[in-house]
Amino acid sequence: MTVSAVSARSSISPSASAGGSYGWPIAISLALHACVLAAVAWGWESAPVDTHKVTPRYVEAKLVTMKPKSSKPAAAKKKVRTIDLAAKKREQQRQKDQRIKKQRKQQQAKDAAARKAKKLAQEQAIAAEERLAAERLAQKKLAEQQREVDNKRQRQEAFADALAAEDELLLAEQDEVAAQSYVANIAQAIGRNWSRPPSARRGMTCELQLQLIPTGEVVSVSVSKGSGNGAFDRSAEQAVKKLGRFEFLADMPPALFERYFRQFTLLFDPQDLRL
Amino acid sequence: MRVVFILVLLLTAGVTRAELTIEITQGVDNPTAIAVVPFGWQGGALAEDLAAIISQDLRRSGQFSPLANKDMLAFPHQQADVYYRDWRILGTEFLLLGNLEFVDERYQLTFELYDVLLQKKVLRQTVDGDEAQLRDLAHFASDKVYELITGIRGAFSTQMLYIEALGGNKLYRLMLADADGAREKMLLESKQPLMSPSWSPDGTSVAYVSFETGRPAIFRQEIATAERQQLTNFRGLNGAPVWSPDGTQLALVLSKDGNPEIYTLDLASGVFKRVTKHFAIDTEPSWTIDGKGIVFTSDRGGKPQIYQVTLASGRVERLTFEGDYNARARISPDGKSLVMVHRYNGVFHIAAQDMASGDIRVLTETHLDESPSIAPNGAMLMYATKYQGKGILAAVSLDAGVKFRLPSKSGDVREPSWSPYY
Repeated sequence: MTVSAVSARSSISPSASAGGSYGWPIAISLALHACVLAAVAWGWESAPVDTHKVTPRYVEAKLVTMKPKSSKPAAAKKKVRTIDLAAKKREQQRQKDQRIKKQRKQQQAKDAAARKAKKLAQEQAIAAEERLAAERLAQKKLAEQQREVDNKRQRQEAFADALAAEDELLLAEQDEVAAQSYVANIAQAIGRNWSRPPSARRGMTCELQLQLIPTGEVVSVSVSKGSGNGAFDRSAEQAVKKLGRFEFLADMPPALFERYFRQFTLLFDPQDLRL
Repeated sequence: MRVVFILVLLLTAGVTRAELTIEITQGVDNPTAIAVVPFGWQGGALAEDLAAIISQDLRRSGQFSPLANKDMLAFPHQQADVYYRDWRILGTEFLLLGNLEFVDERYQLTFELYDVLLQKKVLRQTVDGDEAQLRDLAHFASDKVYELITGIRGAFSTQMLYIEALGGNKLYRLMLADADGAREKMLLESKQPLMSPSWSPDGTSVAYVSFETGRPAIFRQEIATAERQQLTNFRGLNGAPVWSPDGTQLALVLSKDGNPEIYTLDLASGVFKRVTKHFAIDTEPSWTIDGKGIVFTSDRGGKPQIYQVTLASGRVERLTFEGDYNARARISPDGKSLVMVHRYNGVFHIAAQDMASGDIRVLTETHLDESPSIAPNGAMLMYATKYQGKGILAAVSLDAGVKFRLPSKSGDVREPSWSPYY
């Protein structure tokens, strides 16, 4: 949707600049820009960025140390992605409890403030019963105080939310970085076992669907998209079979395995062939 | 070995189980490990060991490393006796089993190819022939195995022509042999020089130059019947006949006009047509794959280089620029490479030039390499070279990965010509 709006703009603006009178083109241009901005704003809000395409450098991937996922970030992540792990559920429950407690505390603080304000008003009323104007002023002051307390509470909540969101993002990144280092190892291991037939050419691609168990063992391989060259496809399949097991996946955090490596796709796309 | 991987991690939106795609962009291209188990045979001693012939065929292609018989843990003849695990431990990727039987006075070979890693049978075929065709049965199996695993048509069943000179050039022979050098057969013997044998595209005839009339003349000879026909009898040079891809014409060199020029000869009508007109030497013609042009060697630029002429327009274009000597070009069957004799550091080698990029790869490192002839599948080429002071034939793969010498003959061997598929 965003894309179509942008292309519409680019197709119209040249004609506007070419025309003699600028009133209409400028109006149209402004209207379209407004449309684009609206579309962009709407698009950003409605479509969460869920697709990550990361192309790390090989060295970068190698340098990463793998951190086992700590229980706290796992809970934060839980809000978006459902991973059926009891630990995460407990963690989420704990956090929820904490939040309720916090809210209760805030409520108490508010109540106390309200009581204090009321008491003050009563005292003022007793001290200057006839001065109604003064009383009205006091009422106004009280309302202001109330508003201030409310605002403060809202700000605190917003801050807590932002903190949680940041935690979550950080964790997703950490996860991805950890996955990347495994991805590098997998690609390397397969590449070492991949012997292409002489009929293989650049531009041939073949996709294999792999299913693994947590020991790293490949339990099923199937060609999901062939290259049209039987010998080429077989060489890819054989590369996986020859390896048989990704031993380094055995000591991977289970959640990471479930998320990325239980089932994945291998795309064979040779770039190093002469022809 | 430097290995660089480009990795792409793709997560599809909104699913709990993330779809991960890992890209493999590099590999290692090793020869395929295959075990050709000695074939089952109930009869007496055979003239040929079929499994050994297949092993040799595959090894010579450079694409395979056959397992030695002594390293095999078992000699199964049928699927029930195959223990994939054993073969896998030996590093074998493919396993070829065969059974030879004598049925109705003919030898019948049934062969089965197993993929050891995927643990399944991938090929089963039966072929039969008489006693003289035992080697053909083996080459047939080699072709099928090669094609299935490499994706390239095998050329083990093809033949070659070559010239053999005996007794210090006292006797010349035109010879025919299998592509592996076995089963050689004499087609012609002469006390005068024989030169430049060339196959007709249908594999039935050969054209060559003979000096038997006292000066060079081009002859055509049918292989099966040995029936001969003299095609040219001009003054001067009559040489280098090469059949056009459709078999209707010959390209050849005549010097009847004063200096060597390329001509075509229409075989049905006997009409000669002059192709090149230049005061320099134009020689060693070879047809382009589509038959619409001829590549040839010319020194019109001062040094021998390869040129191409388009027959319809007569337009000449220079193809080689690297080095001060490039000659006797042949175009690979896919039309992508030009194979030629290339002088490099003062030594004559066989080199391949990429037609598109102009890049040259020197394929051989021996001295005085000449007369390259490409296999019909474009994977190998044969050439003449010197070994221990004697002319011999050698072969090299077009990627220079494998080289071997053909079995030594009694005389000086030269000018190999690899047969087409027929």
